[in-house]
Amino acid sequence: MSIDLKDAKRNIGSVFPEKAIDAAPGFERVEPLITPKMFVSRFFEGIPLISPITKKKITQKELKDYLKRGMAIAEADTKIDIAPVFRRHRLPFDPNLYHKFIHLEIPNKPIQKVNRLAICAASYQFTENEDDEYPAGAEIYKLPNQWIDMAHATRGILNVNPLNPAFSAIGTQTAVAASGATILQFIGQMGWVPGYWVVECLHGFCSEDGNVPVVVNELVGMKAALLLISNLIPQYQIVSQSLSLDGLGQSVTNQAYQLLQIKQQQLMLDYKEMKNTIKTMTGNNFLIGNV
Amino acid sequence: MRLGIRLLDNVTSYNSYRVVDELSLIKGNSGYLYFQVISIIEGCDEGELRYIPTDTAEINIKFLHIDSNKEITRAAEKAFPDEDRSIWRVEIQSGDEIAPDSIYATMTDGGTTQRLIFTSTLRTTVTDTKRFYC
Repeated sequence: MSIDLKDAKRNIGSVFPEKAIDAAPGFERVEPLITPKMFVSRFFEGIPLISPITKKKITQKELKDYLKRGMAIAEADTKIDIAPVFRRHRLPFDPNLYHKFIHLEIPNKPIQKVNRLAICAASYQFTENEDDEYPAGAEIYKLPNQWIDMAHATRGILNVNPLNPAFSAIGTQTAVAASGATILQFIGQMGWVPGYWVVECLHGFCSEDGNVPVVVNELVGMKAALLLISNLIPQYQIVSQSLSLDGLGQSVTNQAYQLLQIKQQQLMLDYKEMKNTIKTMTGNNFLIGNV
Repeated sequence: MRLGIRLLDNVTSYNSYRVVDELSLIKGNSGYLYFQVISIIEGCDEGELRYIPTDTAEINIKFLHIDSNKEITRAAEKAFPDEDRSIWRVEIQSGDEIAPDSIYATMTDGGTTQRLIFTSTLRTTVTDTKRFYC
């Protein structure tokens, strides 16, 4: 299902590098999502990808599958979206945050665009999207997208600014119950309300034409390489053999096995570092301790 | 029977083309994207057989996009209708925004419509300043 993003509120700058509106040419930070060919050339150049048991060469289809798994695990590990995902968040009403320019903390980052910010009821009944796979609930008041402040959208924070026009304007959508400026004026008196705001956002590091930051491709490739190597290494049944007779001896070690072992250890370290780097980019990295 | 499509490159005639696993389009360029209808055989990774649809078969290509305003639906045409009906092409226009691996293909042949599985890898390379930030 595609979404009409024509009127969506765009970010003030790019997602990567954060808030960039232009960049000097000659330094490509962004590239198409990693392909099987790029994967082999970056991580396995000179290393034969052949099963030591069946002697079968790994196919493009299998490499694509490793990349798919690598991407899924990388997304789960970093808790960010690589490819664009359109989400609907139902956020609580907090009177303290409400008075701070309707401060909203969206759990998923980064945010590329905001399509809708509205107050919605819990009921789906008699709404136009009642039969949808994921209905939204009756819309009571929709804030105009122009009022949404995207200053910190990359870090998952939205605000409504300016606040005064928001109180004096009328809601732009047909209401099921009360709508308009009145509702915004008196809801400040309310206590905690769970499931109050509905925010529909486009998330993802990936731009809509499929380009991702180079560092994200590195992360996906590293994880896919680890999965591939962990599949290959156990297939080496004989990793070294030695023969000795009357003081003479010879020892032979399988070079490919050694190579893969070293590569695996290095990739594990690199993956851990890269994961933390990317989490830091979106503010998903926290250091908690006792003082 | 499961049918799919694989991408072709350097198509000059029905006897001269290259089967590719990956293809990269250049954003802003126009032309044709060539593909071949194949029969997917379980357990056979290489050399799937080409499949020749009937004369009246139609293939529709939809380039999926998260933004409904950028989704593109086009009818593909037979590249060599008299010699090889397994090779088709779909037009790419300069304003098209094609997301990676976004091809959704359906074939209507003899009153039956079935989905064709996309087996290759498709990417779009940008050549403007969007290489430097996204």
